[in-house]
Amino acid sequence: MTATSVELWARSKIHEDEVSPYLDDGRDFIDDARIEELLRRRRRPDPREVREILARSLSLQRLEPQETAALLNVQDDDLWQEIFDAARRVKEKVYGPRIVTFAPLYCSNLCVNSCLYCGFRVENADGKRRRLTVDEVRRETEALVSIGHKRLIVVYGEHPSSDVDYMVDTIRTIYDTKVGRGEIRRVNVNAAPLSVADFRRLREVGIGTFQVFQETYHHETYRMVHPRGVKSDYRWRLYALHRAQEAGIDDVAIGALFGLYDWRFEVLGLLYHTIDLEARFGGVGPHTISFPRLEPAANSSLPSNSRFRVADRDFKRLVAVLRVSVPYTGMILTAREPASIRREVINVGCTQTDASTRIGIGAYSESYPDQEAQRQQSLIGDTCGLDEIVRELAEMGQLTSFCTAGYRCGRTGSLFMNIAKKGKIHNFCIPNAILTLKEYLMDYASPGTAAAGEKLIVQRIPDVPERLRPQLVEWLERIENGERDLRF
Amino acid sequence: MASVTCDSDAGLGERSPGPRADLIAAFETAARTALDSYGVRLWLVEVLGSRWSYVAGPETDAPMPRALSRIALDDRLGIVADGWDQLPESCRTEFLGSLRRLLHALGA
Repeated sequence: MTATSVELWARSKIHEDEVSPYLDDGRDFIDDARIEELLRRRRRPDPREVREILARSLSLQRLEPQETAALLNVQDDDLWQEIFDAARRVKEKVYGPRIVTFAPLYCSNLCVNSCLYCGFRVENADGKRRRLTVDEVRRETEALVSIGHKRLIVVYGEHPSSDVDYMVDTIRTIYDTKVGRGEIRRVNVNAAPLSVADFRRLREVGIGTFQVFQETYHHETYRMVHPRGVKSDYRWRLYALHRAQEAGIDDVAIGALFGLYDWRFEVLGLLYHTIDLEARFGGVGPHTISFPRLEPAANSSLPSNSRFRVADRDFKRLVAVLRVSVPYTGMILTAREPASIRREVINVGCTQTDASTRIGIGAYSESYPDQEAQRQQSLIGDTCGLDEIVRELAEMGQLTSFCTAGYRCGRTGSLFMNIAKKGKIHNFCIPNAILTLKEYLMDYASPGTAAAGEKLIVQRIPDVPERLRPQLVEWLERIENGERDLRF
Repeated sequence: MASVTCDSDAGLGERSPGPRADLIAAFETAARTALDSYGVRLWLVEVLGSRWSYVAGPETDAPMPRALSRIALDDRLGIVADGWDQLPESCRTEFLGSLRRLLHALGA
């Protein structure tokens, strides 16, 4: 593929007519001045007001921007502890004591963009560029299935060689791959914004969630860190998930890359994004929110030089505020964070984490070191194996869930949202977490993890509504006898 | 705010919006009878590979977690049922038959 043809492809990507219908008098829904003003105006909020806001969150109401701005401005450590406690309680109330686990699968690192913080950017001439063949994707999938994974997020660079046709082919391959009784049951996608027509094509292969991170919601910062390429168009990206919804992909996921701009601003950006999706699509907000922090990337000085790098203390705070601001959403803590931070932050409202993560292209099935900067988007902080994480979570009292039941029986889009917003999704999550953890323990776990997991299952069965327990116990026995994929 | 239509049932949409509305209306009538008379909850879904994606059915009344039944109507649409076995067999047959006949008519 010549440089000219790639350039032509990039120019053809953006369809202004798929953005303009969403603008309000030519403006998008991120009003930078309004956000800065909210953050200034809500300095030093009254503790009584903070507690009232937390009470609203605990009644599972999504917060308004002025309420979130107040929480972001809390100074007192004791009051922050109350926010952490509320975040933990909100998560337990909505989802129960379970953490969904997945693995990322990077299919291609060819990219036309110039993101200053990313190892995949086109100017990184040292990058080892590669697009996996369908057979290589199958081998990567087999490697992940063989250690027990049931759900993946597939990641693609923005490039004509990894366009929607390639996405469709690779996702079909993943769904078709079986290893013994193991299989991937849900494939989520992290890719560049698509047109409505391309989203429709992607929808046909039955993806789980489509995820696009805005990276930064601050317009000027966005312009500076994305100087060229398709990604330099802020609004094409901002409305990507609106187009996905328009195309019928009704489980969408948002995120920001924390460290590019003020973390408080980004939290409010994520909240405004949530509000706009809810307003336009029948109350359906983001299925999940992600909050990766800027990490070192090959041949990039921005991650270490950014004055907005987020300290560990503030990272925990931003996760807790997001949790209480959008009680119904899933919250994804990634392996970018070191294990020590994961242990600390997972308790303030996270619902998902990746495990056994390798983000180099071909890194699961080929033999090379855990990390190799020139193959990766960035370095990660946690390369723990799945078995180790399952055991660690069990020791923390959290069920590792491999559940993929909801999207295979109609609990998607507005139906999922209504159940989650009422705080009833845990009625499904806990028994399905127990059933899928049991499968994992039977098929993949080391003896130590199996013992920790079995002990936790016994402890957690009383959390399941009494009338469900006979069915759950019967299904656990059937799993012991070799049946798989039993679910509520 | 701009008015943008959510085409969340694109597969149905291929049968054009009018018939789609007819199908959903027919489904909702039957689903209401199933709920009122037998306590059975039914959802209409679009089948997209592994994904059975919500199209219609009770949103505000969350299903109780039970073993849900999945019944394909054709290669594109299906029903998820909470308590399917509680419906008399004659009802099940009539319900599925009427929806399939309607689908056939809409696809013709």
